[in-house]
Formats: sequence, structure tokens, C-alpha cells
Amino acid sequence: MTEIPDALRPILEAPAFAHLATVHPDGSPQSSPMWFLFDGERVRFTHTSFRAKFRNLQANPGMAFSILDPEDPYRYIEVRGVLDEIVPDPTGAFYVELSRRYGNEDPPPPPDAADRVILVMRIDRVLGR
Amino acid sequence: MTAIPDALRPLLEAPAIAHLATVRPDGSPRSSPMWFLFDGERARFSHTRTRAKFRDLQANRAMTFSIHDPDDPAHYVEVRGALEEIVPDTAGSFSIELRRHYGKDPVPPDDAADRVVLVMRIDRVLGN
Repeated sequence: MTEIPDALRPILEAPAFAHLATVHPDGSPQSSPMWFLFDGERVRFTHTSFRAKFRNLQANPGMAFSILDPEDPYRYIEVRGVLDEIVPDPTGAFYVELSRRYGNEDPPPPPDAADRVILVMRIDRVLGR
Repeated sequence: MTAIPDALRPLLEAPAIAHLATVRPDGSPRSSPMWFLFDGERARFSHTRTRAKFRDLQANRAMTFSIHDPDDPAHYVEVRGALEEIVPDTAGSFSIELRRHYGKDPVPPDDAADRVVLVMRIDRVLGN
């Protein structure tokens, strides 16, 4: 996998909001804030199988996101890569894990658990400062 | 222009950070945090002719940005549109205006000679 500069790693390890971009079938970009979890190698997002980003990724697996350091808005990271894998999450367990990580104490499973998936992103390039 | 829901307008008017996505020549997306100014109709970004996003936009003028409210992250806006115009800013005056909007000292940028304003037409506003 690609090298992640030590100075940027804390931004990936914090429960910050990643603005994840994908590309629509018409070639225009889409962007929205997402929860995520970095496991030291890949990045995982909770999503559903009926949303725009999921459909976009069927045709174009390119993914990129940027994050501002919540502690210092002059620091940021940009990550580019591709969809590596889609993992079903039919009980919403990964959603619940993320929700807890983002400060919700005892989150219930999401109402759309049956359609929940984990988007697993492979990292190809990391930039930032 | 497109209608902007009243609930989302404050996110566009605050000095918030926009995560601007463009599409690279190979068809993959790029996202980076940017300052911007919304004039009630269009969004303007300060940029330089030497940077990657500028090159992306030469080939594909589509632009989309998203912003979340740091105090209430479920509150966010996604704005879709396209590059309408590139305005030279060799005096850095727009860059200075932006710095003022973001509460910074209004000094000209070091790279003023390459500075441009990316003017984005807004086609669609989504959010929560």
C-alpha cells in the first residue's frame, strides 16, 4: 500500500468527517460528508445499496476524500483510491460501531439495516499538510 | 438559478470550509478543502493556474462541493454545478477579500501572479 506521512496519520485516525467524492455516470462529481474507519491500511464507510454513491461506484470505482483536522483547520489530508470491496452489513453492526465512534453512546441499529453495506476503499495516494 | 433551501443557506454564507470535488483526466475524483465566497448566486474560489484542480477543470468543467456544520455534522449541504468563468486575479484582490471573510489578515498571496478566481454556476443544492 501507499505510504502515509506520519504527520497526516492522526487525521485519519480521528473520528473526523470525510468528504467523499465519487463520479456520476454523466462524468460530474458527487460529494458528501461521511463517517469512516481507517484500519491502518484501508478505509471503510457505512452506506446503503440504494444511494447515489453506491450506484456511481458500480460504474466508476474511483473514490477520493478530504478531511480537515478538527484540531487545526490549516491541516488537512486528501486521499485517493478505489473501491476494493463491498461487504454486506445486514444487521447494521458496522454502522453501530461507527455511530459509537462518532460519539453516540448506545446507538440502535439503523432502520435501513437490511440495505446496509460497507464500502472498503483501497488507498492509492495521500496528500496534505 | 436553482432554489436554495433556507435551512441550507447559512452554510453557504458562513466562512465554512468547502470540500471541492473535480474529476481528473483519468475519470477518477479529486477532493480538497477550499475557502470560497457565495455571492447569493454563484460560488467563487481562489485558485492558481499551476494547480491540479485547475488542470482538471480544463477538461471537465463539472464541480461539486460539500460542507458540514462543525457544530452539527448531520447538517450539511452539497452543491453541484460547473465552472462558468475563470477570472484572473493577478493583484490578489479576491484572495484578500476571501482572507477577510475568513477572519485572516488581508494580505496579498505570494503567488498573486498565478492567481485566478474560479466562478462556479450552481445547478443543484441538496442537503439536510
